[in-house]
Amino acid sequence: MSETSRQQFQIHLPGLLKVLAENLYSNKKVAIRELLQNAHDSCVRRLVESEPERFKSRVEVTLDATRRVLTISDNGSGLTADEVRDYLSTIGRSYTRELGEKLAFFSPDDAARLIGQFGLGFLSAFLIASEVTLTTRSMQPNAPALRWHSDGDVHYDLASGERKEVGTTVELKLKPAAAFLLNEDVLIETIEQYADFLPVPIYVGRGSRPVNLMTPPWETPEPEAQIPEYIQRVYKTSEPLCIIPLHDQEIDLGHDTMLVPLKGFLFVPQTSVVSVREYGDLLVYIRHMFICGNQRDLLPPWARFVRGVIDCAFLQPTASREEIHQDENFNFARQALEIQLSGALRRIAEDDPVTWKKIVRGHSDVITGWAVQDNEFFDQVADLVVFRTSRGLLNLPEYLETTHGAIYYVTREMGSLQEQLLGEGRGMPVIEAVWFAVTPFLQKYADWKKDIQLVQLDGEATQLLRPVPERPFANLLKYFQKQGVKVKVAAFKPEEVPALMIYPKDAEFFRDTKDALEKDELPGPLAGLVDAYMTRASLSDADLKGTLYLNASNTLITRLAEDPPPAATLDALLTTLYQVARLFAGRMLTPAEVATSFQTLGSALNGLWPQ
Amino acid sequence: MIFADLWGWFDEHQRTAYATGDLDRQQFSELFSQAWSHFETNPAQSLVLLQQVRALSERLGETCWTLFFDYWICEGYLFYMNRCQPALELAVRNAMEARKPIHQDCPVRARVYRVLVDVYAHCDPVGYADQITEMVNYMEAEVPLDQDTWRLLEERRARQALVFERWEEAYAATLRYMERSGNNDFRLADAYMMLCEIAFQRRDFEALWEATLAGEMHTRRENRKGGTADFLAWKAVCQRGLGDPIQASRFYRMATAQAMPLKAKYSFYEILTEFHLAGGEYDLALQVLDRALSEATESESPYLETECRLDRCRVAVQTGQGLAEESDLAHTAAKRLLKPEYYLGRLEKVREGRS
Repeated sequence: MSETSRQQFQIHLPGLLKVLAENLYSNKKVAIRELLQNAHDSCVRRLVESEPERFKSRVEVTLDATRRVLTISDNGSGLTADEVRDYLSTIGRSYTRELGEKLAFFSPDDAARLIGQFGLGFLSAFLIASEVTLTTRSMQPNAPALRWHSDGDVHYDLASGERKEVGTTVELKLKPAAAFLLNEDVLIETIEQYADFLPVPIYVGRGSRPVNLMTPPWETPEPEAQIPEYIQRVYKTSEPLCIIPLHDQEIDLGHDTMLVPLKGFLFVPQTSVVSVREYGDLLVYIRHMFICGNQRDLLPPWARFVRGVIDCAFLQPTASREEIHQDENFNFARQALEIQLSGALRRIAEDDPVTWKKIVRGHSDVITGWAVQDNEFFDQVADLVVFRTSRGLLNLPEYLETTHGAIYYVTREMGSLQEQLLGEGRGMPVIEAVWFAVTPFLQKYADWKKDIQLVQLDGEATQLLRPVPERPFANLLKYFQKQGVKVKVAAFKPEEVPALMIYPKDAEFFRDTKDALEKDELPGPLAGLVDAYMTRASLSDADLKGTLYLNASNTLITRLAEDPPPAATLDALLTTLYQVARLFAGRMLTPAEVATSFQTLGSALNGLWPQ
Repeated sequence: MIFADLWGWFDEHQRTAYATGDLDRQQFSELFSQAWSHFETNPAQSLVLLQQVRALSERLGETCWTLFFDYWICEGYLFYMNRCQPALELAVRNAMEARKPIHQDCPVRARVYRVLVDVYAHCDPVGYADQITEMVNYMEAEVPLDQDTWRLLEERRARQALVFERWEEAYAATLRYMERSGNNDFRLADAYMMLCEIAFQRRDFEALWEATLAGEMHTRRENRKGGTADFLAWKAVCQRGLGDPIQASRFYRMATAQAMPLKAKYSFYEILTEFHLAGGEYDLALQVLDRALSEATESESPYLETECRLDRCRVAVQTGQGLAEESDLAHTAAKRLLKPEYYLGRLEKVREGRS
């Protein structure tokens, strides 16, 4: 083709309707929101353009299950024939947007009340309906009633209609897949979800009271009472630990400042559970219209113990209005939220230490996890986070009071009982640092406070033992050495404990690896590298079997050393001590070894009776 | 070569998590990408994030994911924190875990084995040279590899040849590595880094310049500041070799400015040392080597420490000061390696001024 010709796109309307109606929205209930929002905007328009004093807006939703029809009626501005053609039947053109643009300069408050933007919302009717009939009478003087009908095809019918009052009624012949909306409870729940805060009363069926709140709890005369009630109703949660009301926030742009409009509230629930019940989520409204729940990107990442509801006209909804655009405005809103949340938490920490302590205790794991990543947040919570210790929950200042500047901790869930016992024996509680974030938190704390000694006790419990001369215990040592048991004598507390079995760090791993190497379970080259590691670690089989520490401070041990009983009794007692110490260590025993342990114990005790 | 589709597995799992609204599993990719983005600038934070998401995967019983995050924690220790010991411990643990039948179809296995090889190559590439080579050959023949691991096996061959100063072999392996890298900027930048070293050792400054230009382009495309700093430092070395002191000091300033906010890498100090040695700035070379030594000590790699001590001996030979003391320290460091004789031979050459 040698010449360029300018052509126009062709549109296949039924296909486009199908795509827009069925693919733009992910949830059929959204159609109800869109139609209610149109009804609301129509009422606002009538209020703005016509009779503000006398007008009382109203939306009614009725159901006819027999005919499978759902009807939404409003007493808003209604439409003229031209408006039906230009706006209702022109996809992508929105009267509300044009009205909003007109009002923006002279009447910004009215403009802010309008919600529609895209001229797409009416299409969503075809998401749930096979036929849509609209009957309308415009507020313009002497405007006739009109009837518009479409079954989602390329054509629509426009004719004279029957309607006396100004307003619009949309009648939806529901598709079978949308018949669930004919259940009144489902319908009310849907309206509550999407239109709870729309300032137009919405009545369902013959109900005499509107089903929506109309006013968000933070805009009521008594938000202190209304917000907790709302939390109870919507989140089904008991009394939150604190509620943080939100307000417009000025943010610094460097060269200038900007006011981010922000309404709503944040709250801290009673408890959270890491990765199972973490929060940091928001219900997001834009100009009183619900957009999405479970929004997790607006709050700072460390705030996984916070929930809330925001209404921010600054945010931009996507065309389906089920999500918000993560654009520059989104970042401003996020910044505004972080400023208010951080400020509020700081104030609570300073002015209401009891509440602050409850927050930190209720969300300890989540807070610890995020504090190790965020220095500012760490500074706020460092002294308040509580840890599980052998004396219950303690924060670090409380803990350090008892240990005089040292932090003792264990990272193993199983088999750390000895370390805890030894720590307690010396009057020192031991922190359980099993949760991954605890060790880095403690390290950060030690760096922060200086002069704090951090002592990991896993496999290093010998730090809590005091060496003593072994000569007075030679007979006991000899006994165990003859049995092939690695044995040492040391003094430790509690004095009531006669013996402990202590294993090197990661003993289980080394034993399993040795087994795998011995059984030739690793492919040759891999075995070579693993073997190299094992050689460097230089742990003998004897080391892996553990070392029995006899307590020189224990009266039974000293008595057995100084004044040993007859051989059979001594044998029974020492065997018992050894096996109990092994079992008490709680690790490094296979079921077969446990059975052997009890068998040996039984034989030794049986030996006490004359044969 | 059989490709295991690691990222296909990753994407598929995450698609399912998003499609089913599984918020917990969605965090796998969210926290992983956060960790990845901090690796160069704040590796400690990356490790915390990886540990967090690892704990989550363990709680959810996702064994292959737990191995995946353990593998990345190991990578973090080795390549970004430059910590040999924890990397070695974790690499062996991961390798022992990966061989279990439960991981038979887990696409992370090859990576786990590869990073074990890398750890040994960082700790003692001479002492474990045979095992490293055997493992590389074994993996190529027997283990289903993901594409990146397949590339990196060739990279390992090239680096081993560099360690033994077999420049021709290193050059050939690097070219094969480049071929395997396709248009992957990250890997191509690595390959050009090796070409820089080979060109420098051959005193071929034109080839060095070309390698720095190409390498810098790839590393900038990947926004890797550390890599860019290395190439700028090589440019400085090159300009000094070509006799342009003004350009040399300009690139030197650019390199150090680029590296300033990052956790310094031993490789960067090595290049700066060559820069100062080439200019006869022995005091400055020693200052750089002081920092390199501190980095080597912190990394707990006896290999890096020995290399650093040998470099200090080179400076001492030039200045005629402190050679005996430096030699003793180099000797002690070398003795901690599996085959000290290799390094002691090099030490002898350095003392005789032949290196």
